[in-house]
Amino acid sequence: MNIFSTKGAAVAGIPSLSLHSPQAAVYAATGCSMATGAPSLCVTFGIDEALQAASAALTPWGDKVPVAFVTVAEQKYHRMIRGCYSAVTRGIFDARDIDSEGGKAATVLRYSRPIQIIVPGMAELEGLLPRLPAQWSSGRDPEGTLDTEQAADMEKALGLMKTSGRPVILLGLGGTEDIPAVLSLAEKICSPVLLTSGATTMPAHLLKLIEARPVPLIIPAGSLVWTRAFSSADVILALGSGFSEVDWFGLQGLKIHRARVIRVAVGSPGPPLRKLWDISIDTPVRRFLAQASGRIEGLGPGQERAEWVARLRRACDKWKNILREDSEKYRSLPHIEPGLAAHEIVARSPENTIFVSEGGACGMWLWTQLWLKPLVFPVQMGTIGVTIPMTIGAHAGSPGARVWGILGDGAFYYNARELATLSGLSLPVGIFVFNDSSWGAIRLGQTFVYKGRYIGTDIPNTDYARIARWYGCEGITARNPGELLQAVERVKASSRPTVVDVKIPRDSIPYAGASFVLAEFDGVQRHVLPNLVASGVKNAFLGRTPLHIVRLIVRMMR
Amino acid sequence: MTIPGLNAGWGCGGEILVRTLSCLGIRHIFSISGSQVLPVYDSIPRVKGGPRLVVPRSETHAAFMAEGFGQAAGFPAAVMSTLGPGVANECVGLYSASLSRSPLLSIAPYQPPYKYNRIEEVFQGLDHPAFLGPVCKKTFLVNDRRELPSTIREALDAALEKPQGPVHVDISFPLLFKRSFFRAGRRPSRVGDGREARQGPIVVTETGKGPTHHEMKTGDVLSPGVRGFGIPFSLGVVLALQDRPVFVLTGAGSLMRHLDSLAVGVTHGIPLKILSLDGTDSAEDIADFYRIPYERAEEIPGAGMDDKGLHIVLSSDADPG
Repeated sequence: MNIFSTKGAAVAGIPSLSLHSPQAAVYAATGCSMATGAPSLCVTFGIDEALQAASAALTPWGDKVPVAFVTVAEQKYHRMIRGCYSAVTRGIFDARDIDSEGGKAATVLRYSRPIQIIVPGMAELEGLLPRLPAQWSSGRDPEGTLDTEQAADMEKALGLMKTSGRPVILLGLGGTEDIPAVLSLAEKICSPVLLTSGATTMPAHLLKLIEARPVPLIIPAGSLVWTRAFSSADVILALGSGFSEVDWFGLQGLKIHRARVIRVAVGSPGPPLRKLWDISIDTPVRRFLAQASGRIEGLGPGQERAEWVARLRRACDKWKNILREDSEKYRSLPHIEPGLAAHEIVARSPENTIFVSEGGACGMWLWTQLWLKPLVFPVQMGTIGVTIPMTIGAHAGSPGARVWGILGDGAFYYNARELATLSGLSLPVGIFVFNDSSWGAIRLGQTFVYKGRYIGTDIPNTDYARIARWYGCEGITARNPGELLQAVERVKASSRPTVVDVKIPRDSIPYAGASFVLAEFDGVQRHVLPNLVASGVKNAFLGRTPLHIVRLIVRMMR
Repeated sequence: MTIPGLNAGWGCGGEILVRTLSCLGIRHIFSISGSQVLPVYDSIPRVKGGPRLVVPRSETHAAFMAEGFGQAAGFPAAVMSTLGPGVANECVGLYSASLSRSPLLSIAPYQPPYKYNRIEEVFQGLDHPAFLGPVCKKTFLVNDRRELPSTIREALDAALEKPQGPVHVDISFPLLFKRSFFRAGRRPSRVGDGREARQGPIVVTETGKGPTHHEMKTGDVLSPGVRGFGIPFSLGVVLALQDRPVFVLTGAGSLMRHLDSLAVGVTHGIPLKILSLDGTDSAEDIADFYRIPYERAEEIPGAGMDDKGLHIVLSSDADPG
């Protein structure tokens, strides 16, 4: 079990990894657990550290990451800690009760994710920590089989799947508990598998299961092919998807799908979301698949389904080719287009690279270029400033892997101090700073909705490579494609942490920029529609229309 | 809808908020941008004599700057973050303001539960009142734009009521975008900026506990409630008391911990004197990088007094005495 704190190389005699701030310790624990799927521990001391950690705890809470927070604090602060952490954990336990409540805590950690354990003093901490790994293993799988109503719904669902000509399996993070069974089902019914945003960031060892058996077709979130498959399907079997805004990119209100939707997951979302599906089976995905597996013989791949998969496969190839061709075009430019930067970083990365990124334009650029590669990303919260500590955590959990992080300059200072941690540990990590001297993601809103009135989103041009050297890392600046390629090769060859300051032009619009703006302004579209139109006209006159996105859409539609 | 003290007009909720803050005497908004606060950003230039937007490099530092402002002025500045992670980052700064009894007005958009009734289904969803409630004096919620001016006024009164401290206001974010007519009403008695007439330099310490052995004879000594955030805190102090020199005493590693505050100070032209007791050579390199005047001094009093801008003084006096 990996332990992260701010208090040196050991906590209560147990080896731990020390970072410079409690926030960074939480993000490192999150990165470690996201990369491995295993629980991590973050230990804080005192109320000041507890509150700093609480602000970061929102990220693992949103993505249901199994991080346990252990706070050592005087009794007088326990009420405040409980109050704050009630909003960012799924269970709060007292260390004194951990033996009797350990099983419950472990179950919450395993299935519902972050928990908080409050410890009154160091003596109790020393007694608690060695016992925790045994407690985690006591988490129980939910028992039982489908009840009568669920079994009937399962039959209805299988009936829909049987008659479907264009089925899709929508795999959420909650459905990754039994990937072989999902792939087996997909193969038997000849259905493509779409990964939600959460599932796209599944741990590397689960992705390897997909790589080993990539049939019939797996489409990660972040491409137009995904949107096309989703909107064209006639039946969607959603396994373990929370139907959150993130899973649907804020598109629920637009109803882009025409399919009958079957939802299989634990827990029932609120009433407003229930109109999104036709059949809902409240059960673990593993249980559903186990009971359904014997009933799906005879569903067999029909001719229409085979053609459906073949069409989507061609679309996937077209998508990848377009991105590659665009990148090759950008190589001849005197400046670095962020699309080129993201493409080259991904294309030239070592085989076992885990990518780390965060909310912001840089994350959008990276996401588009990745195709079934390990990615650590704060999906539900879109947090910024997490990349550097998350790379530390991801590396701690996967010591044999290379870890490369991409962040924007707007996020650099949040946890820049952790470059000293990277340097101190001498980790062979690559950090790429997409430096456009602005908060690029927010400027998208100002471009599309506020007619290019950029207020409060400028950042002075800064030499991040030099700052990295202060912290003991290698620092490289890349100003053109040639320097970028050299920098990527140097990162690849280096055994020390290396920061690359990638100078990119301001206001480049990521391929995913439009859907990001849609999601951000979800619920207020009618208020901003006049501004959207006016901005579009103004941008057209100023030559700021994102033609590369228009070209991409047109080519994908052909 | 009446907004006292304003001319009649047509504007979005963000503009109404900015005009209300201006009427109530709020002169600074410390904020990191987010899509949901763009209506506020877009409205700021439209309000003549309205609040100044100061953009730090993290929400945590925005909260500490606001704490420094409030402690020095006796009157709050506003902190505005985007929902979810932005608001969460304010937490320790608001706690610090509650410890030091500094008035502070935190404002954030929130996603109303019209589509979801579980916060975990919302992108960047966080139960703001539950999370910040334990560290704030009071939290407020605005669901109706007609209540916006009165709620902000009520929140301001709560922040200023003794013992002073931080308050948080959540505003339904569609309300910030929606446009409506507003008309003038009776101008309220101006709350004012609460500045006391003080003389002499101000010293800010990082201990979180008040004066240290560097107490200045004629000045005040201020400190954030939580230790280690003296530099961002003191940027707020400077903005509050622009006619008095402000010195912040920092220890080992402070400059490297708060590079972003140095960047903000330079960007916004905030005249702060940083007295570093660290003695490391990196201070000179840092000063050179950010183009901050720098000197080594034997004595702290008088050091940097004539300089108008951000200033780093590296003390060779290892035992201040």
